[in-house]
Amino acid sequence: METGDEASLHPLKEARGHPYPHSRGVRESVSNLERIKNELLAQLRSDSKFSFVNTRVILRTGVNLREYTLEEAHDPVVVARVLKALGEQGFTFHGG
Amino acid sequence: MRRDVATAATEMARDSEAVADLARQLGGVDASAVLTFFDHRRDGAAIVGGLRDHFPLAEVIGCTTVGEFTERSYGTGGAVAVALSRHKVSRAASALASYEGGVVEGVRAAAERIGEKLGEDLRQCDPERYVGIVLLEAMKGKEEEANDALGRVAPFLSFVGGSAGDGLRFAETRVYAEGRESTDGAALLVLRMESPFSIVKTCSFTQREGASFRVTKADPARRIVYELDGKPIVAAYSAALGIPGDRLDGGVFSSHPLGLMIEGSPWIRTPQQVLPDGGIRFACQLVEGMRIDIMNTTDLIEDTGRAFAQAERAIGGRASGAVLFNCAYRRVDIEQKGLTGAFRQLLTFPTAGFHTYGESWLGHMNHTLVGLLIA
Repeated sequence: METGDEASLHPLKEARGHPYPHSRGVRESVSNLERIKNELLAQLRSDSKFSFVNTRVILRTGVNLREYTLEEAHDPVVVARVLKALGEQGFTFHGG
Repeated sequence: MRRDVATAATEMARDSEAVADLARQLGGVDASAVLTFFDHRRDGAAIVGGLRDHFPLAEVIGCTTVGEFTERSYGTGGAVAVALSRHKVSRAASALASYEGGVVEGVRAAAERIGEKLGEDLRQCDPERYVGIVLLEAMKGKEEEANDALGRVAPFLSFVGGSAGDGLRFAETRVYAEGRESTDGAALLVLRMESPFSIVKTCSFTQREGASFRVTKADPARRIVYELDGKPIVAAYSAALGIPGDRLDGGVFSSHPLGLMIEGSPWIRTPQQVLPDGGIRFACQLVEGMRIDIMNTTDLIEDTGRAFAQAERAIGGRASGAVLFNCAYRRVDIEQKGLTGAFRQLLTFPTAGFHTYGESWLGHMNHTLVGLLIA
């Protein structure tokens, strides 16, 4: 994970050297649980740390980042709840 | 012979004598941390303060209970303690998180004080070397918020613990740290471990076939659920159990709580009461969208023994000590089924623990035993 006060998740880091191509792209990036899960795993680089964070997210929101439905994956309300729970643990998405 | 983990139990009526008895039993331990759990009718400030006097170089925390136990004792009305030596815990720091200015603010301030004492940012502490203990006040329903707050300050650190009790009177519970008492806060203790350790979490329930639901209407702040799968919860829950809705009582609730399945393990939420407005109040929050299962009971002794064995395998052999937090619902199960002796026989390592009003590890849960096992 990143060092510093808060670990940050940058969902658009992979956008070919252009971190924030347009605002719609930002919304698309953070509105998908699959991408949030992958970015979190990439940042934490530890399955056990991911389990800790994910368990707290499940207990808080009911959403399991390892086992979500297709409907949940793209539901903006669900995604917002997950982002809020992650944000409170210090994992923030730029633009999210 | 050096003692690394020592436990003590006393039934002395006078608190001053109880402290002396505990200290005598813990004598000879170069303690960095002492935890004590005692009956709610006792003077907690005198017990914790007395142990601080006997162990001036140790961090001392404590709380009231629904009963206390060690590997040699089991009962109510007494006091128990465990001392962890510097050989096992090289550094320790405790703080009282007062909720008077808000739960998140109180936990954050306490965590900062602990971090200053340790010279560490808790967020950056290695979760393989550091572990936390948390004792929570239980009457104000703030355990979920407190656990969330711990996730904010130290998302990778295990804080394992329990909600203080008051002998099933449900009036007032108290926690102690830094020589202070709180009826609206939590006692936090962070340990730097010099031996392997593991967290044990066990409950004795399995998913009931065909009884999986999604919570569709709830009031999490009041721990009330109104609907499962869009149907009134009393109708949905009682139909799944095949009993009339007016037959729901404490016995049914205790045998068939709801489980939130995470990585194959149920995190139990126990129903407490059918409300006049049709909702059911739980001892733990459920949120809308949560998928839950109605549970059936399994063998408490067999499951607990298996969990201890698994925790010991994780630390590479026999445990040298444990601090355990056992739900009061489990205490009732154990005593009603005549399993007290069998439960005590499972405690084959030095242990101090208490029966709780709720268990904590990453979040708040019910009807579970959690704890810390040390190699």
